[in-house]
Amino acid sequence: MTKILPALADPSNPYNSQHLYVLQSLATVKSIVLLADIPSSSALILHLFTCSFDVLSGPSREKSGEELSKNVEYHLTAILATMVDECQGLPTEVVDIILAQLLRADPRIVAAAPPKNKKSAKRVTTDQKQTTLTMKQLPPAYNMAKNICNSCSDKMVRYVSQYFSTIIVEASAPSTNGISGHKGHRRTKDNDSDSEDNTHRGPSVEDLKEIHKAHRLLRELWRSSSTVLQNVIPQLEAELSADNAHLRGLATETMGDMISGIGAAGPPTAPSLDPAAYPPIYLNGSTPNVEVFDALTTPSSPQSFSQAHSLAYQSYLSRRNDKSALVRAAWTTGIGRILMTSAGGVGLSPHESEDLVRRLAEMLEDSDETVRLAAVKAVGLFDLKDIVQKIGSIGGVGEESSVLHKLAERVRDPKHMVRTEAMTVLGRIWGVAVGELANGNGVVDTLLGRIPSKILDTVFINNVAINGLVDHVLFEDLLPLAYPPIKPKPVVTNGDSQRVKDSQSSGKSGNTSADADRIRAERMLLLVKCLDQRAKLAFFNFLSRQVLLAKHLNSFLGRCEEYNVRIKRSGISFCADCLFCTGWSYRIE
Amino acid sequence: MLTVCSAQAGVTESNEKQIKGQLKSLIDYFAKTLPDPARASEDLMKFAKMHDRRSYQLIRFCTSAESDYRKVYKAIVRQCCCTDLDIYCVRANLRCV
Repeated sequence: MTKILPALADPSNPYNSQHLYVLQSLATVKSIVLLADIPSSSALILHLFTCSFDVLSGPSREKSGEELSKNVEYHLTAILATMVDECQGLPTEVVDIILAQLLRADPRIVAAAPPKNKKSAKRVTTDQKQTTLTMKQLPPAYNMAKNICNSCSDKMVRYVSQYFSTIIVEASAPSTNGISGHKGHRRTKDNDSDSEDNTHRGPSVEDLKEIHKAHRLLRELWRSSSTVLQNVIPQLEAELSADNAHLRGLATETMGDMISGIGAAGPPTAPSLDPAAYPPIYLNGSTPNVEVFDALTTPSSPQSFSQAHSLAYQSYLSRRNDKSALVRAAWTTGIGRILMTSAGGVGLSPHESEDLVRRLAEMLEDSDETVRLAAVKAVGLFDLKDIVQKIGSIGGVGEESSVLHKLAERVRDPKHMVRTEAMTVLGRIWGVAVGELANGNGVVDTLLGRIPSKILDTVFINNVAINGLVDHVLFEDLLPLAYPPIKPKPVVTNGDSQRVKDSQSSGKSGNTSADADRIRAERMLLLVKCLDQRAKLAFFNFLSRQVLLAKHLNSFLGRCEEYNVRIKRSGISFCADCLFCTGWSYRIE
Repeated sequence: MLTVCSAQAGVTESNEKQIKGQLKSLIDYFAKTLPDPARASEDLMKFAKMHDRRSYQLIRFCTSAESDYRKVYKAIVRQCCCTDLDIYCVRANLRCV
């Protein structure tokens, strides 16, 4: 046991085939069960499980980096599953170890573990831009734990619920009145009686860390083997009504993530919408977004949470009226994610989807600014297609009760944080919808056409901070300075050489400065077309203000120079500076 | 250059106060239009004292009626790279563009 299993980790070992044979026989004959009959077998069982998981996480540590054959994983899984099935009572440490494997999906935990050598360190980095480093498949140890849970789900249900109840109940001591026996450990009953005495004791820092870890584990468990969580969901539901707002918030976050099928690694990276992109995005998919499949962050829910646990789902939905802003904000973020992932790929019925969108709209008008901010950020995570289909399903900027209308109202929010975020999000949405608007897409026009008017209307509030924001949005999103992207090399009139250089940039070959001007002018015309009367006033006023400010700025520079000349009183350095300036003017040309 | 040369030629002590006064009033004018006016006027004063002639040239490119778009854009980008007061400079520039 102690020698053979670790030796399996090294496939180049000369006795490897013998090791494999031993493994195979243990699996098929199920003689491993005899282990349970040996007195004081728990240490051995623990050792068995630890070794098996270590072996499977081994390949990343081996210098040769040779992958273990799938047989090893298969047989080890079979052996461990047999043990779980046949043992009268697995030691709790073993359950801990099995569940800990699922946390291999959490990059924080994997990164915290010291890497054995460079190879394992490389695999641990979660650099989203390097697609070759994202995990296309789940780690083998994770797979093994998942298969054990799935194949022995009846036993695992009991162990898992014990595991969670000890953690959750210990930490949320004053609040869990709703937990019944549930084939639970006797420990939970003792805790319940203690809890009535300790109504004022909140969870300590270590308890909170444990709870956070447990909740991340819950997310992964839902993604991998949701049947095992049958008894844990009611406990989670009870946590939703805990007294401690922090715990309620945590439970809300966890449940939201579970419904969206987001695991311990967190949500996928948000799509980056670039309003200055040329050519602009079109909805018919002619510019395909390359989505990298990352096994850890791609949301996937194996079953529909709302159908499997409808009571818990209802109680989750009721968190929108929670008295703590923290919980409401967590709820709003959760709803945004559910909508974005369509409940983890399971899909939402149109009625449900519309209901959730309406709730999101309500959150945009919540009395607390953190909730409003969370709602605005949630809308900001959607890409153009989702905005048109999902968010826009209850109406566009013109309709009173729609998300887009309320988002547009947020640009006048009294709190600066919310204003900034709302303006940025709105500006960006319009900025990427330019392609469709130019094409005359009626749907997009009804939904998003009025955005520039709403933004420019805020100029009439005459608030300096808001004006600054409008400037920013105007030059970043609505009419980006960098639109269309200017090539770094100077434009050469020889068309052939340009085509060779531009072989990698799409659709920009032969983009002379005249074309760029035309494209920019078209965008500006589109912007003005979208403006209503009042906003047009603001826009043209803006233009005339530019001329005025230019004059003032020039005289400012003149004064600066005079002022400095007086201070310096040095003719020689002055002449040198002048020559320097003229030299620079040639450089910029 | 001409304005500066003429300034160099016939400047007296009282002119110095006048110049300072004019500078201050211009700074106040700009600072009023920006959020956080107190900080803005301090920064603009720092910019004036810094006397970075390259910045002056870049700003002149931005606001000149003769520069084409590309020149203006590059001038703004270079300004962002070289000064610490880029937020205000860029904002002021953008309004003049």
